[in-house]
Amino acid sequence: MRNLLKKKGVLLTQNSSYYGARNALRPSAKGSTLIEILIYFIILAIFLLAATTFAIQIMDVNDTSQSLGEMEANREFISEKITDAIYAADSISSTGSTFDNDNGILALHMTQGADSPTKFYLSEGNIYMQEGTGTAVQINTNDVKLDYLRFNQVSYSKTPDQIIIDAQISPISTEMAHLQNTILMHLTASLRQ
Amino acid sequence: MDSLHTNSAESRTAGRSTLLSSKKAFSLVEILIAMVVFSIFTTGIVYLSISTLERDDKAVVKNESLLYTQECLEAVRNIKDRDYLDLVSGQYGLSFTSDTWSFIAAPELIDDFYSRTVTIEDVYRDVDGNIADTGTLDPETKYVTCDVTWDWKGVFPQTETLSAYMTNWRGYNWEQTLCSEFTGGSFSSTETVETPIPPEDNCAVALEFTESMSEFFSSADTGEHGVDVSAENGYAYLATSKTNQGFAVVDIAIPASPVVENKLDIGGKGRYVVNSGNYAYVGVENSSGGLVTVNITDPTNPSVAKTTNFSAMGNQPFLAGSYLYMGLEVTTNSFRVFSISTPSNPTQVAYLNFDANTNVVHVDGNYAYVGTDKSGGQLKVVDITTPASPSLVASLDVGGEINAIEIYGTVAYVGVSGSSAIQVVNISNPLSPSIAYTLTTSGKVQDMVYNEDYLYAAIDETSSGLNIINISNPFVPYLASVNDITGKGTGACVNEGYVFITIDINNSGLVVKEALVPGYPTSGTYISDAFDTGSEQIRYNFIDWDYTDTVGGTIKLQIRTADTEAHLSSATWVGSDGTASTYYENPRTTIVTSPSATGKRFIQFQIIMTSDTFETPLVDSVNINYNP
Repeated sequence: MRNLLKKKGVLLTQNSSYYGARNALRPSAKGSTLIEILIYFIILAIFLLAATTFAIQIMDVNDTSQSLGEMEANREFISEKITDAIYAADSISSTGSTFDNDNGILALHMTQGADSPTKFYLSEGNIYMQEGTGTAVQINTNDVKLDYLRFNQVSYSKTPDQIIIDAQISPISTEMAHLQNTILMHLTASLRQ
Repeated sequence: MDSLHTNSAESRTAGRSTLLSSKKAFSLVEILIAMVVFSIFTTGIVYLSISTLERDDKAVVKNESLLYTQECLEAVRNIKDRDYLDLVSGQYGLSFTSDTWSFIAAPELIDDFYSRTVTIEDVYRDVDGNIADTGTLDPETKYVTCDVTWDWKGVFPQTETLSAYMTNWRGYNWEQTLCSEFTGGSFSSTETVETPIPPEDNCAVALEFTESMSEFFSSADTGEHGVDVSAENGYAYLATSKTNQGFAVVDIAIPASPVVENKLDIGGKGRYVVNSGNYAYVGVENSSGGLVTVNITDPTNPSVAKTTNFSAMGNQPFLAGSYLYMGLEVTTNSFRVFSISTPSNPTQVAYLNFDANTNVVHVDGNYAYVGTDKSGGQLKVVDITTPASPSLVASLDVGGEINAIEIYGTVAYVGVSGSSAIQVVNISNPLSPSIAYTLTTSGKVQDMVYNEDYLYAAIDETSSGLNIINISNPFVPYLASVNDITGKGTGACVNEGYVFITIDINNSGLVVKEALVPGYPTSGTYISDAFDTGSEQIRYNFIDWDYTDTVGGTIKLQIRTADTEAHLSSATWVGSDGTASTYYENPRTTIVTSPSATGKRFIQFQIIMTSDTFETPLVDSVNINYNP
């Protein structure tokens, strides 16, 4: 009896378990696969979108950083060149210079005769330095351009002349143009007589 | 077995089912985990990229601030070169308007982002001329600091600082400080005085030091020539050359109107007189009564107390303590010492023989300096430590008979007959007197008395009867003032700020003058030499001067300019606003030239000084700073 019961019980269990499992598996396996794929694709899409955005942003940030660095290096170099030339100049050539103009020209009479006059001027967005009759040298890199270059002369009797320089530097490459990044250059230097 | 099979199949089915369902669930979780991991990873990358950008941004801003800081120094340098006096200690902002830099209130805001401040500080130098925290102010140097500050991300304050010493190196100086430079100008009640400050030959302009007597003058009619005078307590006692009235008393309580109170017959003409307390002692031109003692207890009613007979005329008596020393007009034993412990009854206690007449005696401490006519040794030094036994300790040849002796400190001034001179004798060691200096006077010295820094000498000259000698430097005296007292001076004394001089005029035997009070005029002017700057195209910067001021005095300057030196003398003197009504009253003031001047090439200045008459202001140097 005990065995029978046992057996019966086993049998009973066996039966119910077998059918129960089959019943549970069948409907869930069929419905979940489609939803899963959909969810899977949605998540994947969001994820890819985010990843792409991140990637583009990182590239932009890097571009911006690179262009800022480039412009800063240009500003440093150009301002140093102009300042050094003014310090070494005897006087400012008022006839050769164009003041208070976006396409300004600065012409300096130099102590070193061969370098006289030393001129700074803008041509097609590039700033050139020309010493005496020598070749004009572009002193900005090709990655940037100057939107304007203004010279202002401060002149007073019995006082060394002073030049105030204003310029705007912007990136030249079209990839960077959309970043709308420019930096200003404002410096002042007096003749050292 | 069936059961086993069933069991095994069952468990296989269940196992497959478990595996399948768990596979699907894990995939989703995995994706989520992967996303989280990826997000962390990308966030890191993004953060890195952004901080790189920020760093670049910061560098751009910092470099821009550096350019503004450099500009600040350039701007201050420009202001300094234009007018150095604009650099005044303090904090400022900068303004650039109408192509001109100028200072505004600090701080100055640039692009609503940077704020810029200029700090100007005074510079001091130590004794070696090096810049130090303390020491002498160097007005030609300033310490300039430019600060540009901003807030990074609106929170973190950042500063860029540049500093520089700026000197007034561009200006040229026309400086007048040496005696030879000042003497190129013209003086009006002013003079140059040497200053002890280096360099050599350094002078200052001062009001002219005047050593002249006031106009005060009064006289008393003694009826005869006055010969000598002694004054005390409102009375002057006179020896006069009237034979039967050789002694006179004059009331000098009101110096402006001296009144002869009484005259006394002393048996002959008076020659010298000295008084003390109730008695006056008179050397008399009477060989049988050379010393007369006069009781002046009641000055208005003098009487002869004693007549002493030496068989010689009396010369100068000198009182020292309870002794009277006296010279006689006789060649033997002409120096006498009397005890006057009973003042009415001088009693001779000793005598000394020089084989010469003794004219004058002056006692100083333990020594009597005796003036004789002994050739080759007119000045005798007698040790009178014990008055009753005097001894000759030294003799000095002063070049002539001695008429007057006055002692001031370690100097004996000796008036010599036959020459117009005072010998300055160094008696710092009485045992070996020596002539240190000879001062020429306007005539023969008859008598001398000192008061404060002046020696008053009665001179035997009609138009210059009184010489006043400055003895502030005792060994190098100089003749400060020569005065006409309407007759020849014979004797002198000083009392209560007045000088009493006897003269050889009958109806005014006694003359009264105010003692000399040295001083300065109330105002005076000095006009400098003209200076050629060399060009019309000149800019004058500032006028500066070193000075010593006084409580009651003032110093002010004016300038004038012209195109030629000839036009300078007709140009208008102008002050700090370029008009004639103003003056430069503070050193280091910006020069403003007159708009109506013919030009600027030539310049000169004038110094106008005033004083309270007691002290003079001094202008040690004047400096005109200009850019040619």
